[in-house]
Amino acid sequence: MKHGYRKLLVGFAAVMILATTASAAGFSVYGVGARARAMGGAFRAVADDWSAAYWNPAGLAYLQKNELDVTMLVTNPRPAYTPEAPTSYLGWGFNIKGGGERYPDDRMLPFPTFSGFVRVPWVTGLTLGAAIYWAQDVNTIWDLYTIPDNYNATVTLPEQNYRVDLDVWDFHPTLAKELIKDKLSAGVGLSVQRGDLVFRRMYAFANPWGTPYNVPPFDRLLGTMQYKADGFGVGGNAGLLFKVNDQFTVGLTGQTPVTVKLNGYSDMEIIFPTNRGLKEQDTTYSAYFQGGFEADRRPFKMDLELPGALGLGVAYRPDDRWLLAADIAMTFWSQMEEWRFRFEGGGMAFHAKGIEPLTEFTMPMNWDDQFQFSLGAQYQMRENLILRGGYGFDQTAVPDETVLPYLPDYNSRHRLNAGVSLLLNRFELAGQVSGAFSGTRTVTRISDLNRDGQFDNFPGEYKTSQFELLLSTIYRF
Amino acid sequence: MRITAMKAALVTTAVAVLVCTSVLMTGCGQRENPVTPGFAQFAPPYQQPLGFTSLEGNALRDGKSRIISVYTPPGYAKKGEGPPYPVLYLLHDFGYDHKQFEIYGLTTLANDLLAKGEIEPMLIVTVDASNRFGLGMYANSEVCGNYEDLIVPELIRLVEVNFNAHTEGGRQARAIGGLGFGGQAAMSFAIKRSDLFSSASAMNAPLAYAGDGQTTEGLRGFFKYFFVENQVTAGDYSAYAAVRPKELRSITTMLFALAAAYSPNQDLQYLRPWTVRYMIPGFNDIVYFDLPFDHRMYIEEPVWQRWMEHDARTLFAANRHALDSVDVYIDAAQEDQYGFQLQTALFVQDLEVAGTVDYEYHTYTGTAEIPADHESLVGTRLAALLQFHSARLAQPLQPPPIR
Repeated sequence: MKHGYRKLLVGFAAVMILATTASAAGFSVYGVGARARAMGGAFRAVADDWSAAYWNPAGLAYLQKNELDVTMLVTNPRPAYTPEAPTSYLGWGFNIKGGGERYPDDRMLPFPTFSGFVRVPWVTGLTLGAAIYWAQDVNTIWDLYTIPDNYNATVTLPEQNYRVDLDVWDFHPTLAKELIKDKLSAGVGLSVQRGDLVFRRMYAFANPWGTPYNVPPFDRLLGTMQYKADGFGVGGNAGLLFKVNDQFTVGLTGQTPVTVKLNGYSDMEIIFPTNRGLKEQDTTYSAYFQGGFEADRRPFKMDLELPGALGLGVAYRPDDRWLLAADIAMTFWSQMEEWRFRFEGGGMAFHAKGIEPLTEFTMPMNWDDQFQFSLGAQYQMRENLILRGGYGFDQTAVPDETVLPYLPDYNSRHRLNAGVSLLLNRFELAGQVSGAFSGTRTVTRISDLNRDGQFDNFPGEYKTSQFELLLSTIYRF
Repeated sequence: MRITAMKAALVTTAVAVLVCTSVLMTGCGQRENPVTPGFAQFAPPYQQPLGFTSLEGNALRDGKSRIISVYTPPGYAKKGEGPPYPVLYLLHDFGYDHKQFEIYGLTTLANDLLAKGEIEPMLIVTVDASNRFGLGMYANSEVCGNYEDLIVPELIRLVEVNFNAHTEGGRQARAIGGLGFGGQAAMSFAIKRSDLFSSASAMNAPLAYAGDGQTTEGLRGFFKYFFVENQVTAGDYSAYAAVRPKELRSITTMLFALAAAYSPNQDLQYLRPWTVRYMIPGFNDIVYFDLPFDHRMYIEEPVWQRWMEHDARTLFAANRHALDSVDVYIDAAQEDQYGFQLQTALFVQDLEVAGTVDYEYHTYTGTAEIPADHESLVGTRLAALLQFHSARLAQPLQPPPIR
């Protein structure tokens, strides 16, 4: 027994030490459930607890008992960004703070999850229930921007000049039915997704006032923008679980895209420059060169396009103690083409002469489809003690042209995972830790894909580290 | 074997301890961001429109308020708050304004070179010397205004009053350079006012207006294009007299700019067929200046001689020792569509013959994709020019010791 505990502790320590860099691809919170995450996400052909609602709803058909689950995932993201001078010149607007590696507002982020599934006693092989989990999350606050002294030395920007706080909850009612006894099951789930967004960034207005008022650094007028919105979207997922024989199982899953329709309000502000010479030119535009602000607030709408996905998993049980699994999946992040904010009420309007109302703002994303690969193993060490481990590879979805410090998919990554379950009567206490590693990503060219005068990426070096701890309690009855 | 609650608690505690240790190892506290004002690369040069008395009342009705652009190195200390900086004055070409060197990434380049230690801190000043014909040619003119005075002494005085420029250093703290006609003017200033500048540079500049009659005809080679561009037959006076400036960078407009600057004729004492009567758009004013060729394409020698008074080679011939105390940098694109490299070569021959001038002469060629024309590769040449001047401006200039 003592020998077993020692192995357990050594296993955990190894994972902790290897846990150096990680983060979810795109915006996704990578997977749910202690068992599934401990196996690196190789769970589509296993799907033997409530988290099947996420991984493969067909697996719910084989639940032996009703389940209630409460899970808490805590992540500790540690992104770092070292700004570099771009090779092209976009004017004063690219005035990112330098001086070395920069960090966001470091925080531990909790993600609670709840679920309940019951076997329907009067229909053989039917299970239904619901789970609530965090499907997507971005939570970063950065102090990246500084105003050039020559533009307006009297203004101090708030330190939180770049912020993305995007939370997408998934309320996921699911049902599953065994179609062929001990052979084939199917499941479908409904994704009712609730999204909340807070987004803040800098904006550069084109100076409309002509010569000499539009000479650099006044060729663009500094602006800030902030968006707050929430909304809902509906999608679904479905899966099949096919037991080839007593040892092999194959799982096939699909997730529909979800469009979360966000509604909210946006605030924009122009920070006017100060320049003695231009102020004294004449009275036409002098008011705009004495510093000061002008602000507007408008309702806006935005469709947050979240991707669909396809997955395939296989599981192999060589004996009663071991379970081996492998998954591949493709998440279609190419659906994330842009963030388009559409202003209502005539658009963002300002009294400053010549500045046209802004009816929409588009931030190109141009993300790529993302490939994932997972390997997992489970070992029943004792009757009531199960150990799990897993490896996963997540391709990055973000191209160089749109990589940004405040959207945390910095690079492709390798994940290492480990977990343990203790079965105590009707309770399963499960713990899981994970980490990942990836190389430093260097972006050398600044881009403005839609030629709107706003740069779409931040050149520099990106790296991230993330450690995750998950604790779960499942009650079976 | 059955696991007791005690043992389960033991495992849970051990896991918790390991987790906490790992979190502490990887770090969970707030990391400190570096304290920095930002990338100096993206801090733009100081821009300030200033009224120049040199341009007051100019007959062309161009504004006297001109923007000066001053590159200040990162950490620039204002006047009285730190050691003063030497100054490089860069003169832009025909058809451009003070922003021309920014097209070639001057600010970014200067900061990069500074960060690599390849140049020392200095101020780099450009001024808008354009007019409605494209350039005042840095000459004093009854038509255009006094663009020569605008640079010397007015710009220098304004910079040295308003910026932390080293005034004690005198000529050792000043350099002048330029591109195209700006380079021609820079070399002329260096010849005429070697007491003010310790180094001078000219990039792709017409430094021998008259050419040599063999390799190049100099500016006289452009006269025929006046007829070609405007489809004027030699001898057709009415067509010749009706020609007006075309688009900004055409040969015709360049010749008008040169004539307005070098051969104004406002007093009308010598009104001739080759005198241009030019009504300023939007005004009723008419200005008069002479072209150095008539409608038959014949050179008008008296007018041409007035142009030659501004020719760098002529100026140097009149004072062979003018550049003895000035370090000179010249480069020339070998596929310059204006053929200025041929004029440059003649000027360099004169420097060589004089034997008393410390100069560097560089020629460069392009590639099949990017030929080395008048403007195409200037950005890649600018670094060498900045390094040349930086090495000759004493750095950093400290206040004189207390005696």
